Amino acid sequence: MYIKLAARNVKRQIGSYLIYFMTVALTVALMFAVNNITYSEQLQEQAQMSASLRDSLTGITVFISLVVAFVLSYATSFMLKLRKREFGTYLTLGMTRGNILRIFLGETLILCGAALGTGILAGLFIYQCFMVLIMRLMEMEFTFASYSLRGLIFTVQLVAGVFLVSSLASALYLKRVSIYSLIHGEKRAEKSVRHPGLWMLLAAAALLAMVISVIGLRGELRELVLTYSAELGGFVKYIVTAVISLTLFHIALARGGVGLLQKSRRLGCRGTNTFVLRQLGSALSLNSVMLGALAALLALAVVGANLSFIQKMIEEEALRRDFPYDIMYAGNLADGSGASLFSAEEPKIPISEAEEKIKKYADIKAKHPYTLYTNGTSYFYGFTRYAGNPDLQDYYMKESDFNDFVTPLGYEPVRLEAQYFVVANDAQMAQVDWSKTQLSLRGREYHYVDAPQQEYRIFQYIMFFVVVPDEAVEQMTAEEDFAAYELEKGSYTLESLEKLEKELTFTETESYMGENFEYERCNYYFREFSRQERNRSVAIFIVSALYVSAVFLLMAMAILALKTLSGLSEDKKRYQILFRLGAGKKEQCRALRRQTFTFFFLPFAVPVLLGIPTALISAEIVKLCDFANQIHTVYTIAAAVGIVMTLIYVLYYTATYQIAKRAVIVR
Amino acid sequence: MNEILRIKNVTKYYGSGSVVTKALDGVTFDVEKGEFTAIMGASGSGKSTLLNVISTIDRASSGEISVAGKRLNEMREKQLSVFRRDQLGFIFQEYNLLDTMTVGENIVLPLNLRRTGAEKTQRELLRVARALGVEDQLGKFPYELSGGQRQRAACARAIITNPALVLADEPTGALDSRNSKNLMQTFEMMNQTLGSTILMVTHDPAVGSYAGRVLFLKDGRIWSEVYRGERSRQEMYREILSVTAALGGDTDVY
Repeated sequence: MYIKLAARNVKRQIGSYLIYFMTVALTVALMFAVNNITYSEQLQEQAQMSASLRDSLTGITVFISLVVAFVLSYATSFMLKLRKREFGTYLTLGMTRGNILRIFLGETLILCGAALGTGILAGLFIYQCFMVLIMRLMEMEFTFASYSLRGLIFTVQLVAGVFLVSSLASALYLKRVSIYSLIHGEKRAEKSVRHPGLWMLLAAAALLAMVISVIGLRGELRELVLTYSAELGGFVKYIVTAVISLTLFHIALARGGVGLLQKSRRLGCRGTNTFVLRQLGSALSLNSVMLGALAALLALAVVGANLSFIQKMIEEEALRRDFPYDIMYAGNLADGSGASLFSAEEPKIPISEAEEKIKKYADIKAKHPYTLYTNGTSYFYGFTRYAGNPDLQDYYMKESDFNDFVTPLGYEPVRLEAQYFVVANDAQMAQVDWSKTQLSLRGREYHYVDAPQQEYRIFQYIMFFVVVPDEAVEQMTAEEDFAAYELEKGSYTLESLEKLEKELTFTETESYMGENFEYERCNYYFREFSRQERNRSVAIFIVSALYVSAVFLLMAMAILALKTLSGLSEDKKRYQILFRLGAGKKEQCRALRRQTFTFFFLPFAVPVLLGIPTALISAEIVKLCDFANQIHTVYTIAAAVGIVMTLIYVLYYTATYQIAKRAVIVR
Repeated sequence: MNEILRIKNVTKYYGSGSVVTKALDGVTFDVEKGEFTAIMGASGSGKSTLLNVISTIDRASSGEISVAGKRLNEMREKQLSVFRRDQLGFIFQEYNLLDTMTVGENIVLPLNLRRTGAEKTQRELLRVARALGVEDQLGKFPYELSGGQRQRAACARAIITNPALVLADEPTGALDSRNSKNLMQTFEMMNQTLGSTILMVTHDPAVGSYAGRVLFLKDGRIWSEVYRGERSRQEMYREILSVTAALGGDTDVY
């Protein structure tokens, strides 16, 4: 009987349940898609998804499920409150609380079941969309992605868990609530918030703390890029402060903002202003903590989406800079650790022999050899924070080698006449004022000029080198030979490059603390492998960030929508009074729009605006990393993220407003 | 012309097809400026329907209704809203005060809807609050007041715009006898001192006896009419009782 009643109720209440249903279905769809990615055999085979990546994705999904469980429990309690009079009547008719719980859980079960089915159906499609995105990000060809049974089972388990948690919340509510409050609702009208000025002061202080933490975070990031010495503690401190102050700001604003506006008589005497402010005042102050928490979730969604796309752009640029050519040969470069970069040892595989091996697998279109020289001094290092380190020495490159290397990359050749310039390979060195240096070689004075380009794409694991006219290196020691190979497009495949790398790899033995260690070493670096490796991690990072952002956005919108809709029965009576007092349809609509819009957008405005400082700081970091030409991309990403999120938000808001309008406005 | 309300041959049907109910059947009457008129009748006689069509909350099926010379039948939705805002004042059985707003904010709401300036609003608020004896309650919320105080606040809201017509729908329905008596004295004061024209629906003969004229409705028609004239309230009360007895004995009178 109860199941029948529950089924009939669901049918009857479909309008009220629509937002709840949509939210659960979309969340299930996203969960299903990500779980399929986690257990995708295709990704494991083709993209070599590592176990750690899979664990990270599983962790994210479980975390998301916890958030979803919390939010849906909250949402379920709204649904209960929406129908408390009905349940109160059931109780007075002699039903037990257990009976009512069974009816309500029956309804929720039917809804969750339907949402699970719809969600999985939508998830089948969303999963393919995610795979298209991942494959595109990995620059791999998309083929129809197979579905994973484990992904399906995991999704069902998570949804069951979420259902159990929300059922528990409903059971607790129904156990505690009195029949009186069920029947009479919460007639208690909220008094005005006391001391709105103090709340606004707190909001201002929280805003200041937020600004300070954003500035602090920017400083930490600069420190990280410029000195590599930033500590994790600093980041955590500023991020936690930013999140707490953002939450506090919204709590204080929700409590004090309306109260302060209510003090203005001039504002209050215009139309339905007082009415709207009172409606908002009680809604905002009652839900201030929830609004603060939602703002934090939305801020994470906005910043996360921004950073994921910026990370993708940085990786692409870094690849272009670090690997300007298909294969880069770096002499005896051992491990890139700094002091022992160069050794006097001959390469284990001679270059001529290595080139023969390369030709076996690919056609060499061009070769660009170059040499780094040293005169044994560390004069230039004296201008950096490494001044005084006896192990470091300056490196010089001939103008002709330099031109041979950079011209095919599209740069103008340089013409040096008794001049020199410094090419900095990292953000820290790019900040050094090299113009104070003076160079005198073999009794000849060379004058400093700025490097014609901010960034040259040169594969070097050294911090900087000095480009000088050819004759300047005549009496220097040739420290190391390098070579860059440009391969003929289409003359190789990924598999052939893998075989080639294997042939160019040799085993080296090193002694440490009396023990010999063997390790594999290859002096040839392949752009394709680095690109694939970066693409893999970036693709998963982007999909994870989008997943988290989408779910946070959905949850926030769902809570706000449900909260708005759960108050409709009370609102209806109030708007009816407004109508009788002479407020026409237009005036009522305006009041309802302002009321719902402010409630909806209060926790969204600041988070979406956080896209601006995120973009500004990212642009600065991107510039410091010598990717100045990509700054516009950072701004474009921020604008796109902001616009897309706002559009989704507006869509959800419009749906909620239309439902509210239909229920509340008296014609 | 002193005629504030003119009802001519008004009918109202509910339902469609074969299930049609005639709630008003050719009702005709006028209300003069400064009159205090009560409408009485049994349940289902059409009193509330009549009040709803006059207040423009519902539309008459046929006939003509004019308030202060304005024909309601010809007005569009937007004009009707303006009309309700400017020409009518409402007092309901359940007070209909907004629970989220203070008493003062509730009272000035009609002025706010007219976008009256802040100073004038304040002046008018003090005037009606003083007249209705709620000036000490202006900062309180409705749930902090007694039923009688709430209804007086509702009266203050109804007359703050100096409407052409105040409509009251069972205003004492939720009050005890002492508060009912106080409220009716307030109505008398509003009518005699402030010059408000009042049209009130009630089922209580004691309440109806405060009116200058009582119209009796039966089956959607005006069945009888009683004028108080120079008679005392007790005499009017007795007259009402006798008319309701003659009405068929199935009225709400008890």
